[in-house]
Amino acid sequence: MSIAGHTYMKSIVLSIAVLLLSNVFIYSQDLSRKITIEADNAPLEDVIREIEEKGGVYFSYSPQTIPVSLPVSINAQDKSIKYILKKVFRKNGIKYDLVKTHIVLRKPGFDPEQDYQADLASGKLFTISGYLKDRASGEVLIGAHVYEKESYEGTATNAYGFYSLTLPAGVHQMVFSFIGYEAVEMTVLLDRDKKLSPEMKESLMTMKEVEIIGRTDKPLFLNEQISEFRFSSKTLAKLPGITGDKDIIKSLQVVPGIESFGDGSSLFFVRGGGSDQNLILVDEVPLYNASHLFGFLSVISPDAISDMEVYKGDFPVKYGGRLSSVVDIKTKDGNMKRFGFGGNIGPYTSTLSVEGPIIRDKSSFYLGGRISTLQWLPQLYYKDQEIKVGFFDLNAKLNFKLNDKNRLFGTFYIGNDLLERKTYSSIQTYGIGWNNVLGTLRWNHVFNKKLFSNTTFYITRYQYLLYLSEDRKEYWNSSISTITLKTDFTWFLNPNNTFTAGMNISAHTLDAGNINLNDNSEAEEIPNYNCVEYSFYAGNRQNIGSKTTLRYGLRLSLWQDLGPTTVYYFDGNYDVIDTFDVEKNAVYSSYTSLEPRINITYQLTPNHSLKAGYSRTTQFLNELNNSISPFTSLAVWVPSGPNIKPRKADQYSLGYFTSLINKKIKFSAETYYKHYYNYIDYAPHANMLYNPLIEGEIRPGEAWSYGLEMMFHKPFGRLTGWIGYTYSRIFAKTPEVNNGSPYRAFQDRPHNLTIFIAYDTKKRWSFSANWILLSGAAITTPISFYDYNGYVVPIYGEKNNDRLPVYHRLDISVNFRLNKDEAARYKHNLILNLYNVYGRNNPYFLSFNRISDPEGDYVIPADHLHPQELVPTTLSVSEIIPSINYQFKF
Amino acid sequence: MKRYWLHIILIIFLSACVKEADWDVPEDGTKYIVVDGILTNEYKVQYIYLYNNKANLNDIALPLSGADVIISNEDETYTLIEDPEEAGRYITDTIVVARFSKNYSLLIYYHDRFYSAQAYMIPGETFTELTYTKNDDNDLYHIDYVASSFEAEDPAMWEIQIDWSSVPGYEDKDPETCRKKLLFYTLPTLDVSQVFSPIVEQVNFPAGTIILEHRYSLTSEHAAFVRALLLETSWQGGVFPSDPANVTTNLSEGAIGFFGVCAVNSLSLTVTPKKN
Repeated sequence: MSIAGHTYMKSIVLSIAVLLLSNVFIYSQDLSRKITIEADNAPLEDVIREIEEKGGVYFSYSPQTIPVSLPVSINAQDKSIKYILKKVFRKNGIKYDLVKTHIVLRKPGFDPEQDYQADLASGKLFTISGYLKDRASGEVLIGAHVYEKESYEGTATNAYGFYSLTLPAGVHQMVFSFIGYEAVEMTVLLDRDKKLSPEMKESLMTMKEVEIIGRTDKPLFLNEQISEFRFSSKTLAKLPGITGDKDIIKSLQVVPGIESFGDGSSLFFVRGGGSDQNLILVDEVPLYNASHLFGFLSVISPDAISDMEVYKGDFPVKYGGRLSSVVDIKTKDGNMKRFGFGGNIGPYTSTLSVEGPIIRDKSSFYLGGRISTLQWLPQLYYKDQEIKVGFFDLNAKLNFKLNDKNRLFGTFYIGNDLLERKTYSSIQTYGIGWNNVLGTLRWNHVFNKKLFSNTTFYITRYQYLLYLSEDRKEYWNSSISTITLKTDFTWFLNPNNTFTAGMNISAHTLDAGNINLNDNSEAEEIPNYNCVEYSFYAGNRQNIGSKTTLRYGLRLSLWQDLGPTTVYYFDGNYDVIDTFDVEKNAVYSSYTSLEPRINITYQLTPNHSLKAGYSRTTQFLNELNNSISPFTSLAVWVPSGPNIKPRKADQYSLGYFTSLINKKIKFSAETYYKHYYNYIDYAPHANMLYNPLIEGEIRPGEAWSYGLEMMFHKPFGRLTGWIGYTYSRIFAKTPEVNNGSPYRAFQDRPHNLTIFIAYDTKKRWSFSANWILLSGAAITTPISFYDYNGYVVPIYGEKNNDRLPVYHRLDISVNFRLNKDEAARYKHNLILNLYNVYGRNNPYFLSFNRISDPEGDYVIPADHLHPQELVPTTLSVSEIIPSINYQFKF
Repeated sequence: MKRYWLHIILIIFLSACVKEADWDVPEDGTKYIVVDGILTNEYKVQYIYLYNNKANLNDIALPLSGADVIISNEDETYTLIEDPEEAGRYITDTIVVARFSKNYSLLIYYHDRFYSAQAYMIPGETFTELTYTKNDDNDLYHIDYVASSFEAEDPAMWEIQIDWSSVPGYEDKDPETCRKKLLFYTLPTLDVSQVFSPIVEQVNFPAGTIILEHRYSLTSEHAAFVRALLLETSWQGGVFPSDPANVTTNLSEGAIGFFGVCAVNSLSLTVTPKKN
């Protein structure tokens, strides 16, 4: 093209830009809107930003011609934007023109058109950055999409709602979209770096966006990760819950590749990994036991959740410490615009939350609590026994926007469970309890338009108690506490490269089980474990050409065990051969682990993409538990050390994603192979609760899992849902278990089919249902029996030689909106839930030790003089569980 | 009506739990020699049982006849002979009293193979008698306490023989239906399966019942065997079942069961009438 031709093209582009600026903007400016601006010798740039944020207007200017650092003072209380503009700009000799959504600033005599043309010609890059927020509450939107409509150059908001996108100078049609929100389109004249923080309006009608994002949605095919799912609070609200109260952890079982233990359990297995291999984070803080009522419910109230992201593999490098999955839960920040409350009243649990601004648009709070209301249940059923069962949890969050560059968040959570019941076994106990306490402070800092950081300090503690006396002064307990300081940086270098880097230091204290007696005299004390963990990581998401995206990174972890403690060393028969008393703060064991992670996405056609990934993960903390109960039992955590090497896993995955039927249906298929090193199994009848030699109960080995996950997903329309199928296997090989031969791991459940359907009527009813079909768990059953002192004792052959019956279950939820006006301020619903509608008896255990007593109950025989006929029996949790809940929100 | 609905809800919520299962045990065919024997410091003819394992849950265990059985310590050797009145029961031909500080060996010769076990005895301890409580809904009693709930230092087995065959009103009944044997243990360990063990059949007896209580001292090896035995029997199938595994043994050559030596302390009591 000739020079003349080039100039001609530039003129056309500029003409189009001017045309767009004058005609195409979606938003219209309302300069009569009243806002409050206070500034005392603040830089002009800060004042401009504040007007943009509070007034919902956007400025265009050249920093080279506008004195952005000029000190400005103004005290405008509830004044129109027009008034404020006059006060700020005219007084300082700056002219402004309103061009639809943009207020164009200029110095007299400066020709912005000429300047713009120069930038356009040079291909200069500018950055758009900011936060995406909910218009009604001011809550940031996590994982929202920001992209340029023509080129599909785009990004997504990070965990704090921040985004940064660098594009060439020019006019761009920007699109902001998010789950359940009306997409925002705006034309942006990119003639300088800009801050755009649009507030998005929640869609009242049928959700137009993705509900559960298989991260495959066009146009961000290339930006999304393999093996990742996100749940919005809206999706969670649609899923049937076990007691009417929606459950964040149980909702995971509808995701292909994630298998629930079964009824009433919050334990889950991801791609064959054990239940302690899942990292559950609440506002970045690990939760070591996520269950209430042994697992019937999850510890975080669904009302408090704003977003939940799940990784089944290929974790971003910022995550570490677990082998199989990361469940990253973000709680609500609190409404910055207005006060509100909400809650849920049901037969088993009730919740109440309040939220609102502390200073409007500057700071907010959220306070939510949940309490069990099922005390009536055991008291009626177990009339002759003294049983009390209950729990509570409390979430509190404070959110301060200190200025444009700094935000501060504080989260506090406490959850407590208590089951009081006298047990008349050979150990007389009076109940069990457990509690989680966590607190965190987070500081978001925007260094500049491209560099974002988050620094977090948190404390988390989990404790399990078994009461041995009625006054609860004598008890067994175990605990794990972690204190962490960490910082992450995200550098949005350019549209093709986003770097992340960070580090953290954690101190862990673990009590592997001690007995506390009233007189502090008899019980042998088992020393605590003290450990320090340092992690450093760096990674990049890189676009190569228009079809390939590469994500790669490296995570380095250093682990140290410190005294004071007593270390036991074992021989090949697991007998103690030596002991070593370690002094305080002396390092007696250390490990280093390097974890490379890489995945690549290649877009075959606009509608088809392939992804492949490899990741290594390392786990230093181990929950030792040889119970095969679906309930979280008395947990004992121990760290890696001289006798327990860190567990490691290598995962390879390959995925294919496409959309069908005019993009109405999304299809994904992923296959994986995972190898586990230092897999943990146990000695027969391992002694876990009160054992100073607990490390000698571990039998290390290796394991391997593989599988295929497929999903058809209809995310749009009144009828939404998905069908997911998973084929997965896991086998283990441990020299001292099963005579050294490979065996199926307990969580080996090859087939898993999930169907979820939700239907919104045009009126006030909505319905949802899910059906789950799952292979029975692998179990060990006897091959013969023998008599001993009146007992009939089973003899076993191969480990996990058998399977329990197939698990299947249908749940239904019906939601009726009581407020006729959908946009009413006070919203309330009645929700009917039926869990396990057709009353399927899904056993979780089989035993051969009961008799049928005269009342028809199956009990353990007490008389060892006269043999009685024993019957095989299965244990299951529940049949149908109905509930009706009243939900309200103001 | 309200209560009716509450009951409906309760039944469906809690109807879960235990159900009879039709479960086939696969044919294995492997034969094991099972030893069930405790030598004690009681002044009596000592005995052990030898069986074979059985294919089905409710089969009667086949006694192992024709074995040669010897028990010895550093000083003495006792030959046990098969009881002519009960196959599989091997008895000493004289009164034998096991002694503290001796190491005992059991040697079994059967079908050209030797099977052996070693055991020793720790001293016994005196104890306070158990307590019992009258049932709320009848005039019978049940045991509510045997020993301190947590005795980490002193593992023991408590054999409780209950006999009400001579109580007025029961004399005409089959005496066997009026006799029970209960077992109770204090172990140095704490297990979830133990704490939340399944419900045990309640044995009721009338006032006037004679109860004989024997405390068997257990060595740490014997206690470990008992713990494993209970994990596979009385404690299995509760809310927190443990991963099944074969019960440990101190027998060699693939034999199973346990040979123990225990000091026994005993006392007896008669159940006296009480008010609720």
